[in-house]
Amino acid sequence: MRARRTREKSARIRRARAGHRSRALAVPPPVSDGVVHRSVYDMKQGGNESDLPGVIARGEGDPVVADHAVNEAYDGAGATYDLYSAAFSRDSIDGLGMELISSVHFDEGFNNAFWNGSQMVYGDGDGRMFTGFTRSIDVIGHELTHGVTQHTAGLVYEGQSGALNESFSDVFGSLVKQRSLNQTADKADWLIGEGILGPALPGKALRSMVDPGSAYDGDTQPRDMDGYAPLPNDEEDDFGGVHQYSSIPNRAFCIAAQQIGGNAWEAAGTIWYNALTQPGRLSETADFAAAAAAIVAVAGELFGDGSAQQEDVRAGWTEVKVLL
Amino acid sequence: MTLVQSGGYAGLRVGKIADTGTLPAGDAEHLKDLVEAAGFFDLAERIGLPPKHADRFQYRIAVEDGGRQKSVLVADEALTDQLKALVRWLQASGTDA
Repeated sequence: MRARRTREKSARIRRARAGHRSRALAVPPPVSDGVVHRSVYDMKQGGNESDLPGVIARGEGDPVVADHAVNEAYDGAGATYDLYSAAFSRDSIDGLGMELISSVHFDEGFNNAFWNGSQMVYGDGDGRMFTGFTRSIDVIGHELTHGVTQHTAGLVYEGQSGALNESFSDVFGSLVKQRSLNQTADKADWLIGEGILGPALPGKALRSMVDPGSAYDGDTQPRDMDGYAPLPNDEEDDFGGVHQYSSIPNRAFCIAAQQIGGNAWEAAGTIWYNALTQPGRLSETADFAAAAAAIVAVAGELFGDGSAQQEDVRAGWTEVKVLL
Repeated sequence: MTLVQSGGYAGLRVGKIADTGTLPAGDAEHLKDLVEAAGFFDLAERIGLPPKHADRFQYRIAVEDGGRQKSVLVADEALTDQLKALVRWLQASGTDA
C-alpha cells in the first residue's frame, strides 16, 4: 500500500512540476482499507467549476505546507474521517473509503463552502462577511456530512426534511470539533462557524446549537417550534428556511447530549448516526415529528426502552416542542 | 437592476442594486455590455434549478431597461461565464440593497 501511495504521489509531483493542472477526470475508485485518503488542491482564485479540483497542494501523508487554508482543509477532512471511522465504524463519506478531495481558494471573495457531490470546495470569503471557511473545523464536518446524507437518508433539501438535512450536518460538524478538542458535551460551546465572521456580521459564530438566535447580530434562528412558521419552498426563502429551522433539531440534539453527559459523539452521536444511516429508518421527506419518533426509537433499540438515554433523547425533542 | 444572492452555507440573502442612470458613463456602458453579452433578455426565467446539492448559492437578477423587464433565477452551478461576469460586477460595484 505504501508503494502504491508513493507511486501516486510521485505521479502527482511529476504532473505538478510539469505545470499541468492536476485535474481529476473522474473521482478515483475508493480504497476501503480503513485509513483516510485525502488530497487538497488549490484553485488559485479561479472560479470555474469545470477547473476543479485545481493544482495539487497536499496529498495524503505529505508534510504541512505554507498555505494555512490547505493545512486546515487537510486536517479538517482528517478529523471528519476519524470521527466517522472511530465513533461509527464508517469508512469515509460513502462508507466505502472514498477519497476526500478538497479545493481551497475557490473564486475571489467567495463567501461560501460547499460539497459539490464529489468533493469539498472552499472560498476565502470577501473579508467583510466572512474571513475564510477552512479555519472552522465544523464547517468542514458540516459539508462532508452533506455527502454522508446524500449516500444514506437522502433528506430532500426543502422544508423540514431540508432543515433536518442541515441539522445533521451541523450536528456531525459540531461533533468533529468537539472530538478534535476532546470536549465533553457540557464543555463544548455548541457554536457553528465560529471565527469565520467578518466585520459585516458582528458576533461569535454563524449558528448556536445551545442558544439559537444568539450567535451573531442578525441571527434569527428559533429555539423551538413556537418560532416555526412555514416559509415558501423557493430559492429566495432558502427552500422553506432550511438554514433557519435547522436550529430546532440542533437544539434537540444539544439538550439530549448534555443530559446524557460525557462525550456527545458517543451515545447521542451514535443514536443520531444510526437514525441517519440505517436503511429505511428516515424517509427522505421526513419531517421533524417523524425524525423525533425515529430517533427516540433508535435510542430505545440501542439502550433499551425506558432507558435514561432514550428519556434524554425524548427530553430534547420535547424541549423544542416537536414532541409533546 | 437588482441582484439577490440566496442560499449558501449561511443561508443569507445579500442584495445589490445598480442603475445605469446614476452610474458614471463608463460604468453604465460596461454594465449594459455585460447584460447584452449574457443575452439576458433571451434567457429562461429559471436556470439550473432546483440545485443538486446543499449550501449552494442561487441568484435572482432583475433588469429593467426602458419598456422591458426581466427576472432570472439561476443556480451558481449553472452560471455561464457571461452571467458570472454580470453577477461579479454587481457584487463588486452595486450598492448594498
